[in-house]
Amino acid sequence: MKVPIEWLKQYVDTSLEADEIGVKLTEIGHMQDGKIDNKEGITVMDLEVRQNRPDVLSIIGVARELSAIVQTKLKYPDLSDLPKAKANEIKIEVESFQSCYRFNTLVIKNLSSNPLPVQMVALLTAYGMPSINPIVDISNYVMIELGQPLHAFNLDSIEGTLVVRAATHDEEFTALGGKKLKLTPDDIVIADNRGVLALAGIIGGERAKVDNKTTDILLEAAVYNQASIRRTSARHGIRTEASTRLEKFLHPKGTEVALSRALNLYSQFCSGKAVGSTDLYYNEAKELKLSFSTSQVLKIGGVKLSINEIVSILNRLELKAKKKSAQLIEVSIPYFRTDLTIEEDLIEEVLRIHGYENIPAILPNMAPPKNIQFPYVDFEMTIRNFMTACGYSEQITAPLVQENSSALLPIRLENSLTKTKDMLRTTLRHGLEQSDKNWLKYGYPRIALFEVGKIYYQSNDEYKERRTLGVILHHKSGSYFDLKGVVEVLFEKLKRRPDDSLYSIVKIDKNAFYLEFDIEALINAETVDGREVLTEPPQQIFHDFSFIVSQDQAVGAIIDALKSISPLVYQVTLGEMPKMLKGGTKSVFIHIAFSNSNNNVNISNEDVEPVRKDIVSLLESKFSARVRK
Amino acid sequence: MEDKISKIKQNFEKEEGKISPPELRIKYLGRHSELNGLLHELATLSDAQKKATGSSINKLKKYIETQLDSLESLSDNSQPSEDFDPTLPGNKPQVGSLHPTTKVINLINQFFIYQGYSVYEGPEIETEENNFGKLNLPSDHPARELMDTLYIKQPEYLLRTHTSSVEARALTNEALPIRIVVPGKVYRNETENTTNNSMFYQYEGLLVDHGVNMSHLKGTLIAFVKYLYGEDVKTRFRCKYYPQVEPGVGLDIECPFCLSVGCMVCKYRGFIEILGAGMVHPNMLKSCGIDHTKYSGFAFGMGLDRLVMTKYEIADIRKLYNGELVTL
Ligand SMILES: [Zn+2]
Repeated sequence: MKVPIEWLKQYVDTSLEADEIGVKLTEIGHMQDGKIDNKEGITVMDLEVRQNRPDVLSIIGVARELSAIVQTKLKYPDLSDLPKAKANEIKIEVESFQSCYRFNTLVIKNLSSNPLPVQMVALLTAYGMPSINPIVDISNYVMIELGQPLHAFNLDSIEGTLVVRAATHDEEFTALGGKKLKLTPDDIVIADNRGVLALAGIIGGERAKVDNKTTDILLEAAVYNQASIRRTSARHGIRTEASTRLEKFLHPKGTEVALSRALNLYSQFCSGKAVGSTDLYYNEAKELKLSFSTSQVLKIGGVKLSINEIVSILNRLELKAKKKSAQLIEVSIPYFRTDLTIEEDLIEEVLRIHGYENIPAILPNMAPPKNIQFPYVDFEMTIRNFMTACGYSEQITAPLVQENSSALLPIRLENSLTKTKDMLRTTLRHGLEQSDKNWLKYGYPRIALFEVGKIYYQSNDEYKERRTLGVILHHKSGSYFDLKGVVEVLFEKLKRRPDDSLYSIVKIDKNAFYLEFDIEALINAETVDGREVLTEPPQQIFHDFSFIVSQDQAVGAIIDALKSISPLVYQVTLGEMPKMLKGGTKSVFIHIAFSNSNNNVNISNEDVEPVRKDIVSLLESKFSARVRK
Repeated sequence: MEDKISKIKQNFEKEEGKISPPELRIKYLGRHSELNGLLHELATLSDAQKKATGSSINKLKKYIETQLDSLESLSDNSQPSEDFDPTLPGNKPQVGSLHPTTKVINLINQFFIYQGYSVYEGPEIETEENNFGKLNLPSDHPARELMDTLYIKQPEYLLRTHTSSVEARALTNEALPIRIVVPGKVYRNETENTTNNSMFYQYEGLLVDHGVNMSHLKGTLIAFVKYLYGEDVKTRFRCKYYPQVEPGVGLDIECPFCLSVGCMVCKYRGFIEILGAGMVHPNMLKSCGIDHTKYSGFAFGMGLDRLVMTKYEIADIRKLYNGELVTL
């Protein structure tokens, strides 16, 4: 909201300079945006107006806020009485009060086209509205001054009955400026017997526009369903000073004030005369009264204020506050403050005018509640730390992707500005591959990356999110076993029983492998006991087993079988990579450490010998191995 | 026997400086050394002699070993082997690093965990109810349209537009009093550019207890900002509107580029907004089944990405999450 300071000072007495005014308004919730400007001798300040304060989209609204701080009384602009008794010569109808809450009109005749005072036009221009002609300028001036949009129709152009109705499908309308629109039944229009005259609350039309020859007008001030205004404005891509105000919650009471003010200016500067008025107001809103317990200011605000101080602050904002008891105030909410509906709203009013800087700053002194153990937070952090310790660097990649390559059913978006990113990832692979490509450009010989993130998919008509670890290793002598080793240590470190169904390792190309690990299954996997530190080495006896088996025989199965053959088997490791031999066989070299699981009991050769024999016979019988003796 | 032993000792001492330590080691301690030969002769002696001579032999062995060890360590330093070049670079181990956003989350978590908060999470695919309804954002509320929601199935399922949806979940599901912080991904349907990405990170905080008021919010936020930006940081508390809170607060810090004079970075405001906060709206407490006459609380939320970008000098938000970020 652009605020010409000279305009503001018409309503509030203050010696404050523009920049000081900016600081004060910012503190109470209307942030000064950008530099203070000077437009042809007029100082202009830009304020960021809060969504729920349409009253501040007016000079009088800003003045009211400022007067509450500087504590001077607001000077209201002059109003003229509307000719309530005399109806308009034009018949007016409102089709639905669901979409138009109040439609208030005034017919003014015999308007002159004398130029308006220079300062008035200059203020309007400084605000950002170019001057058109005196009649239009006055209606715009009142809109900026009071915040209620008005529209003037050329009375002579209106044919038959004026009706506020929904547009018909594909109904045509030429807006001011010549833009041709095709309307929909969701648009509200003001129309006469011939067709649409204005897109209600947004923009007038060419047909009934006011020009330099116009002497008689129908002036309209209305309040519509704000969501409808917002949607129509978005649908046709038209945002006007009127639509930015009417898409917010304006009180219908404002229409009569705006017409009274406009009439005052039209008679003052264009010697116009009101000949009739019509007011279609279906459900007149009652004045809202809130009772306000002053103890709330301390309870919610943490500030001790006397009841008199609170009453004074509220009255400065024109909220009519009356003491009801030692603790209780009754507050009448003026029509323009549509944002105030509950007691807490009043607490904010008191606190912001009292000044947020005057609220003390204290750390909460209540006993901290019991910690909520959220299972994944620590677990994921452990995985991240483990991966970095293994030399892998973390990436965070986009969950919205273009392609997915997994068996899972992806979740698609219904609306997305970027066509290339219209679904959620079902794997972390593509994001990490993209990272890998980028790291390659930096010339890294060994690229080791990971991401701890979610994948998303549909299953049984439900949307699922699953915490996942993705790892990529790109290195010329890197291998499948480098990633498998990561998996094995991860199981060990997290004390979970190894389970091959929880992860997958795929080859991306000659030098790159990708690992994906289901973190949620991992956290829920069977836990295994195990010490994290030892203070004495376990006594161990070692035996090597060298044997020849068929090339089809998976060595992993042999190792698993050996591990479970006796509790005395402590560790089973591969002595060297298996060597392929002629005749479809391979030689395998396995190294076993035997130890007593009870650390305090020593192990002897006599203990081990039967197990060693069992191992040999197992190798021979189950795996048809030829064991070298 | 004893004579032979002392003779060996004399010989060793004579040759000590002349022959290289490895050769001496073979000659005096090797399998074919005189000393080893003497050990075999021990068998011919009586028990008493065996013990005495054996101990003399071992004593000499120890002596020679110690001498040789010190000789070898000396020669290592004084005569470096020819291919040893200590100026060659070391073999750097490959070290992984965390993503800058994770680091910033950890940094902030550290502060709030110390203040008694739990780190909490919630789903990214949300219901309209948790993302808007329970947060005092009824349908047709303009803020809903301003947020440019990405929908999965309109109007019910969407990608959360803010981490506040997790507040609704925590208030509904967890016991009171409650102190949580929620770092996480959020989504908006935005045209992507250097400052906008369809996915970005927010950090949310919530404290609900008996007797919580704005002074507690202010105390917490000031302590936090000092933790993050240093003791001398200048803050500004503004009244600001957010539907989820009442009263609402905007927290700014003095623009570090112009020191509140006004510059391009702060859009001539002199201050930079870093977070939004306020007292939890009674409508929100009610919609989560909490008696707002007994409990009150505050909430705050901030974007994390700008913080990360400033700290790590990254000019384009997209680079944080599109794989173009190389951590050193
Ligand atoms: Zn600045």
